[in-house]
Amino acid sequence: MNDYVLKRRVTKVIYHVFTFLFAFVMIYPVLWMALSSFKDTNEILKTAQNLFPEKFTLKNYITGWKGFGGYSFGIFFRNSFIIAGISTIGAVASSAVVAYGFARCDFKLKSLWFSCMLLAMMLPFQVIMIPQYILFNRLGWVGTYLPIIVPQFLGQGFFIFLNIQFIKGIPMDLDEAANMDGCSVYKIFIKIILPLIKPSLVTSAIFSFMWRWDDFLSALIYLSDPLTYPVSYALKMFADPTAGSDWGAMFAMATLSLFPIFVIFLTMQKYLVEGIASTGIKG
Amino acid sequence: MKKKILSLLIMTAMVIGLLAGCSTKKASPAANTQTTEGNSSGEKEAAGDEEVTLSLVWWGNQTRNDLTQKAVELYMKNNSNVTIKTEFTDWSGYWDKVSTMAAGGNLPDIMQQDYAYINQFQESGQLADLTPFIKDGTIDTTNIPESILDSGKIDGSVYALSLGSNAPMMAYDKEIVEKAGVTIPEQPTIDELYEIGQTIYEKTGVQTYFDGGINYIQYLARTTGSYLFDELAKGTLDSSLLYFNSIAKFSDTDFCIPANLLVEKDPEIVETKPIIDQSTWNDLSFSNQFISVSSTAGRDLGICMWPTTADATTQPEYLKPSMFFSIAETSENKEAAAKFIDWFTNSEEANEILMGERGIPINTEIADFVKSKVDNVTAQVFDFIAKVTEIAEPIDPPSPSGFSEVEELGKKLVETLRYGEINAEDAANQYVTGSKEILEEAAK
Amino acid sequence: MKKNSMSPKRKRTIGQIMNRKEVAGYVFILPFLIGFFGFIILPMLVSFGFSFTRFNILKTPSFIGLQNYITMFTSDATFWKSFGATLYYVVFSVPLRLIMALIVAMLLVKSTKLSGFYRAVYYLPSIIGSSVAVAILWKRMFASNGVINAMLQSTGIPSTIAWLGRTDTAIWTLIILAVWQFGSSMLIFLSGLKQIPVSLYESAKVDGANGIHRFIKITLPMLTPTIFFNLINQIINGFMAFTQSYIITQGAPRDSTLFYTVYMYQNSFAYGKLGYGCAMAWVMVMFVGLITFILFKSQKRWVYYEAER
Repeated sequence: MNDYVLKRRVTKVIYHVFTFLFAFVMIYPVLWMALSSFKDTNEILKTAQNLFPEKFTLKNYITGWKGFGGYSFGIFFRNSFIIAGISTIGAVASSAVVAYGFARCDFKLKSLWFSCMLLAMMLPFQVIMIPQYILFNRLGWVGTYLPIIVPQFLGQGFFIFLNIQFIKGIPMDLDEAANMDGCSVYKIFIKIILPLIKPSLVTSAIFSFMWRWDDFLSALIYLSDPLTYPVSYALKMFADPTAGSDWGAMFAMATLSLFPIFVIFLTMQKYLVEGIASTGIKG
Repeated sequence: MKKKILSLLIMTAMVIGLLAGCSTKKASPAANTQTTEGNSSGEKEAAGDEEVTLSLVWWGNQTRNDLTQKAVELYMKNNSNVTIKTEFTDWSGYWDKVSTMAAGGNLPDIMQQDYAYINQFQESGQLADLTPFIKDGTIDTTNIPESILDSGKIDGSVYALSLGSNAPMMAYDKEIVEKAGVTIPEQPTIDELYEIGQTIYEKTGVQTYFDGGINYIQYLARTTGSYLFDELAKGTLDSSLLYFNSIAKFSDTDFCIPANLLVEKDPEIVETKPIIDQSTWNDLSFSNQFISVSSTAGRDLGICMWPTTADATTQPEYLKPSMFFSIAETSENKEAAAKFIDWFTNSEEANEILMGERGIPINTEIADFVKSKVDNVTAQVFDFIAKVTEIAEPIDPPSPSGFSEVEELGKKLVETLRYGEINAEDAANQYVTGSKEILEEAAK
Repeated sequence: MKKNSMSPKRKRTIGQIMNRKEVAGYVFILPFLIGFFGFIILPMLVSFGFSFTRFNILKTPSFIGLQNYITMFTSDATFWKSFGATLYYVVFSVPLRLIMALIVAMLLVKSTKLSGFYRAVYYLPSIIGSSVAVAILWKRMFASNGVINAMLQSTGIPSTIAWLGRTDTAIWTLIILAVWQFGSSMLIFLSGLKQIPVSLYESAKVDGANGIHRFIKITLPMLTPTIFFNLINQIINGFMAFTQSYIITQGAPRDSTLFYTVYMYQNSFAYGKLGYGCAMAWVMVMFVGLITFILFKSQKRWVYYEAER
């Protein structure tokens, strides 16, 4: 018995040592970036191997935050929150609804629509960019957030597919039992399915927020007023291959821009823990 | 099933028709404005104090964005009836953005323009002819040299106004050069550079960089008074062979920086240029990069012209517009846009803010005015440009469509050559035949 | 279903009609249909139409039939090179990334005090995405005087390899980047693992099955829908990978890291051949579509859905 306890402890220690070391390797590059943001721009270039700055400076944060042409990063962050926040709500909600339709209902042409969804996922944005721009321009949406946000409310292939996989993992007996009790399909979706796919909803939310936060291409194409630029797009402007880049300021702002996603992840990942596993539905 | 395919095809055809329709529609108002050009001058007086909103778009970094925005604000303060909506972006995103805008018939009134792109935009009728505004004095050109105006000319009309001058330059590390005990001539020949490189490597162990991309092939063509794109269109080998031979001559030695290092020390990005970390003692680029290269390197750099050939019959060095402003053909406020460009180019108050950040001001008086206010490094560039101005031959005409692809082909062949997988002669042959095909295809 | 709808006389209320699965299905997927018909199908068809044209964005397209497709397959060596590089990338990065993600997810599925922290740490690399900062970072790390070589040297291997400058190693720096950013797949595996009912493990424990046994008999089969999802997605994403190649290597050296999408993008924008770019896009859609189709067909053999039992 003593042996057993010892063995358990050793495995536990090994587990933690291993995960910790491995974690360090994983975050080394991120650490490097974060710490570099406190280095002088020239020091970043010359002493790439050093993790810690020779001279700790906040200069990069000050010049970086100033932004461009009088538009500070405060504005860019606010815009990113608006875009990513609203898009995420839209994408998570609409994708869950659509996924339920695909996973649990039988209707004509279902496989055709499903294939269309996959097809849309495979098409690189760059080639439909021009026609889409013309379309949105005709609608008078260019220069506003509408072309970026509205499509998010109409279901995103990746999240739809993800939710489908999860809904398919829920035993049919549950639906049938509820149906016997006189629940409508809609009620089943809201009362039974939604709570059970919480992990995939949370995952969708994390991804959606992160992708919208990082996305600069649609901002580049559709936005015109610097007052509406998001962080991802503003970050690109520190780098100019021909006229010189302020890497220090870019690293500083890039590091700052990680925080919102990181905080979202930390708060959301707790909910991943509660899945079917904890409710123990299947007997 | 057949029905389905048929309906799909019909739909596609309709959609294409729709798009083609919208681009022809786009062209027709452009044609109209050209014929009514005479009327627009009549409207001018009436338009004097009217509320005007202009859109202005450029690419740039933090410095340029700040300075330009400041200048724009000053202009709006002085001209309370004008509102200028600015947009700025990074270089690589810029062209995606403006070509998408152009495809949507939505170009901003004033756009920053590059020498490599101006032809494409002009050819497709996107740019307004600025000649009437120059003739009627809206854009004052009294202090602007003819040759600089010419650089924005296509088929006899001015479509873009240069925002500053630039010239091909080689930057070098003064300290290393001194240590090796060599002197760098104002314009070395390729053979001289070869010997200098060898000496420096023997004395200090620092390597040499030698290439200037397609600009350098054009440069070499200019040494014989020839125009590269004429040669390529005809399939003539001369300048291309000279170029690849020179590249091979250097890359065969051990004093030249090896190809595999050039991937990580990319000479096309200021921060990674091999001269920055003293992997090499020299760098070939354009003079507007001198300031950022100097400040990034944090050392004293010298400046000279690109290497020419020993038997050059004409001077290859030239002045190049670093960038332009042009006005969109679709703009409804061409007059107001031209006024702004005039102010941007010719006024002391604007250039006191801009400080030659886009290149040496093209108005000679303004250039002198700005020079008195700049720091030593910038003054070095002013002096260099002054020296080049004395000897410069006119720049090659704007590059034809297909330029980017020809440029990329050259880069790839140089890489292949440096990796030792092709010889100079084959590379030159492949370059010329490949380029000919590309240019023919692009002209269709 | 059919019988129900045939049953005469009984007047159905709107609620009843809406509750028929046939109708409900369309109600549920309505947002998708609006989006698809509103914003996707037209641009999609237009791009398909463009693929039969010679089209510089700034000019009017002209119809050239199958010429783009013919050029691509017969005389464009770079096309094949970029296809090969992408295929190589997908073949190595996708399995490695998924295996890595699964292993880490298995390690982190236990709720210990630190698991939240570990999850965050392992997810961190995926957060920084493929920004310009990553590009600089990666170039610096794999530089001849970079951290990777320094590490190798400290273990006694005298390495001065310019990893990014060799045609055989450059692509691996991108593969490693992909594997390093396994966070998204890990997260999906984590949610998948969480969905497996604990009771299954408990009864297996009672039966005396050991860890490996439980993994093979319970975890793996129950996880197949998630594995399937990750696989499909990673394959699609792998073929669509763009930024890594575009911002880090730009295809160098010698096109060994020129991704398909990057070459497509160069053609569409830099070279003014949007028609050719669209044709390339559709060739890729067909190819990836075919792989996806085969995978979907293979589902019956290895993917286990609780609902279809």
